[in-house]
Amino acid sequence: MKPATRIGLAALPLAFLAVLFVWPVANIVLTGLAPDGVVDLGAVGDVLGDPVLREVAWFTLWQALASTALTLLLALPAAHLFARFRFAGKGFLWAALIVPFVMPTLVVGTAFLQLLGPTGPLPVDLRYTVWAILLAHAFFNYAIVVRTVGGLWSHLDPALEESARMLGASRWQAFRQVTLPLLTPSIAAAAVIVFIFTFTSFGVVLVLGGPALHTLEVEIYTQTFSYLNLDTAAVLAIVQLVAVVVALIAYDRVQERRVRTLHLVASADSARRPVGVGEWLLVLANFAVMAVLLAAPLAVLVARSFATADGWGFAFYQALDEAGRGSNAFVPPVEAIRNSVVFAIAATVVAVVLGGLASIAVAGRSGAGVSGGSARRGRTVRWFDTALMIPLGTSAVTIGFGFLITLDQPPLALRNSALLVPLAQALVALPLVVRSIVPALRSVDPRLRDAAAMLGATPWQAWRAVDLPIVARSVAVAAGFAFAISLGEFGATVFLARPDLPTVPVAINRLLGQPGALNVGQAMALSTVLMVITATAMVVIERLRVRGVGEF
Amino acid sequence: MAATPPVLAIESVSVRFGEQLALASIDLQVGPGEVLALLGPSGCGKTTLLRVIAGLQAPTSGRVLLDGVDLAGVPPHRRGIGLMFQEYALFPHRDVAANVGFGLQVRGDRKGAVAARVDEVLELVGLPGCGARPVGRLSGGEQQRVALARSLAPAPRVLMLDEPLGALDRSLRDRLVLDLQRLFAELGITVIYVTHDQGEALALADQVAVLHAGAVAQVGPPDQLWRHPADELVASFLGLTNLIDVEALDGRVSSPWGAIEHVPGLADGDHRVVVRPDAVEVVPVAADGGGADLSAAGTAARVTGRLFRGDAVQIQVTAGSGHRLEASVAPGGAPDLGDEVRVVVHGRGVVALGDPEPSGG
Repeated sequence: MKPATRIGLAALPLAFLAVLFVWPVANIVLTGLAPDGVVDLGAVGDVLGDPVLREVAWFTLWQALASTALTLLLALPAAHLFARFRFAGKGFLWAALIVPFVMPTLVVGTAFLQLLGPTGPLPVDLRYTVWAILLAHAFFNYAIVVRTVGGLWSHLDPALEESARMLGASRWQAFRQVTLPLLTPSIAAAAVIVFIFTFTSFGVVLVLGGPALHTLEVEIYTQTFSYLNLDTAAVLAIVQLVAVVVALIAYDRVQERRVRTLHLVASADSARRPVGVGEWLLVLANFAVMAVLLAAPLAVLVARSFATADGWGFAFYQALDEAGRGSNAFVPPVEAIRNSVVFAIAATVVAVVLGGLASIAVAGRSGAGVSGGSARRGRTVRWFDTALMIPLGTSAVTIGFGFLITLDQPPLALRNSALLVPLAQALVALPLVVRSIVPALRSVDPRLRDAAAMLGATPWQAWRAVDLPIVARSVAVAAGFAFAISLGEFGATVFLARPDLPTVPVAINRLLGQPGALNVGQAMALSTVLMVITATAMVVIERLRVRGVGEF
Repeated sequence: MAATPPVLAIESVSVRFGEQLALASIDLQVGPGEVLALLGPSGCGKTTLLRVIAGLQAPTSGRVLLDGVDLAGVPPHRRGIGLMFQEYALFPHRDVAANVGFGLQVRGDRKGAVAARVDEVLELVGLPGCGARPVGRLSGGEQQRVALARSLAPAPRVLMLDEPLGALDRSLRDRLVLDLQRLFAELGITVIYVTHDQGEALALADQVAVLHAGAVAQVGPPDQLWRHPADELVASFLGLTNLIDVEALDGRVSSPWGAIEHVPGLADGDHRVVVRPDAVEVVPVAADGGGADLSAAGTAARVTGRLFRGDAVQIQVTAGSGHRLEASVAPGGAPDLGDEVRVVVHGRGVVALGDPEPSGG
């Protein structure tokens, strides 16, 4: 690929990032550091000196660390299960695992509220405790660890561990000294991602943290909307941004170390049926964790949506098309479903077009070129690649807040435009789109293209015969991801959605903020609807996915 | 062999994977210091047998005895059996010394003792002073030696090698076979050597067991297998592919290629025999017809294949009747493709199959 072509492809995504990401973030920084046009660190000093806000920052950090540790603890045995064993329903389970990851945070928060509350099956009320937050975070990020670590693990040659056994190592010694060191880079990569996601957690903490427990993300939201304290919100956003960038740099380092010459094998060759009591116990224990952690909250949610005062029924669903009457939503909730789907489709189109262009620019092979130029080009490409990842690590609330304070004045007075929501959602979905398409583009063996060319195919014919079948599927997968993420997006949307055009998560949030059984029941019903739509999208994706390609 | 009790005894071992019978009642014994080669094509069950002995695969029935003790229930790491894997399975995150010393380290040897033993075995395999090198930078042959050193370091009672030279190119393989031969003799270690290459098996083994479809087709010392292959299958694994049907009567043997003289010990009746290529004489028919009297001996045929092998030329001849034979002749004066020749089969190169099968196979 010629440099000019690459720049041309990258231009539109870069412009998109510049206007909708860099500019708003720069504006936040300015608002925080120079509120009146002059650099004034007073606000920074006030915020950093405020014991309440320092407490928030400290809580954000330690709950993120604890969430990451808990997620690893629960998910690593499952990574082992999927990597090394064959069992009935494995394919389905692997696909189903991704559903929690894209579930709307607010829905999950609501589900855990039901599960851990006084009417739940547990003898203690864990609502508004850190335990509720940790468990919900484990729910979300379980799949990231299982897929990242399990993916590599399944390709590790079992002969390595068997070799250790034959040299006299016990099972534990073989794991500890051979398997674990080889997995460490992928475990670290998964841990950093989980840390970033939980550090910037919003919906979950908003619902489950109650009035006492705030993360920086929730605090930014509260400072903006409850206290109209934009300076403080901006400083908090900066603090969070710095922490995320540090974590992303760590991720980049870890990724670099991941490139080790491993002798990888086809995953089908490394899995076998479990043998003996110990291995079956491992299987059952993992099933139990998945049932309790992943399935139970969603099941409770569904059950509550049908549990009306008069017994099981569809009353809450029927009420979804009525505005008012005890609930004080501005519009009938059913309209929120329509809004969500329309916004999500728009966001998906934007994200896939921009993400597709960016992916081709990132993954395209350098033309058979001068050797000197390739290193420099490689660095530029890598820089672009990382830049595309940053929105993933940046909190959605920061993006929404940035839009709010940036796009309300000329030249881009979009404050009241319905466009804002899909643009913000596209920004949030963009990194996932790129992460889905780039590996697929790179996985195409260039020799296949060469072979097609030697058989007389023009470059276009070769691309159509070789690349398109693989890439088309990965684009479909990316689109599904973008759709699911946009559908459930809450952090940015809650800042930007117009009162007359709420999305489903925004409508759920409103319903949850109102007292009364009908409101809660309707929130459950809406959550269930959203869950079904999202899960359907994910199951379709899994059918399309090229095995083993894509990072999440 | 019966005088000393075997180190390793395999008794009626069967392995079934679902419907498929991977090993069908295998019986084998290996004496102390003996090298047993398991020879067979891929998928014949030889790797499965290694895994059963190693304890990585439980047999469906039968048992494995080490020094007379049943190994059932003994986990792989307590068996005292070494296994060198195909492709070596070197630990990529450890350097050469840490790979070689792994077995000693996990059993809790002191650091000094580990280092000394590592140096010793690296010296033994011809890689002295290579301990600090990362395994990712080793050539194929070096990887093979490191893997061998690693398996030898804990001094296993039995060392098993799964296609140890399979990943290497021809010339390197020939050299390493000599190294292995010297090493096995020097250490006097009991070895099970899995290969699909008859040359390696015949060169290294005291006993060769030919495996086919999960069963032992024949077991015996190399020269015995070579002289009396049990059947066509064993013969073909040993590289003996010239098969002809002959009839013996009162010490005279007739074949499609004419009478064969001096065939050792063939009972009266119909036989299918193997003819070694070097016992097939190919005589060019002189163009001027001057040598007509001499070349009248043998069967008229045409050269239908010719491969130059350097030290010999491999010739395929086809008789008018359609029968084919392969011959190995000296490069000088070898006939060209399409030449008319006369073919004489010498009795010294005829090998009777141990258990002749009816023709038609």
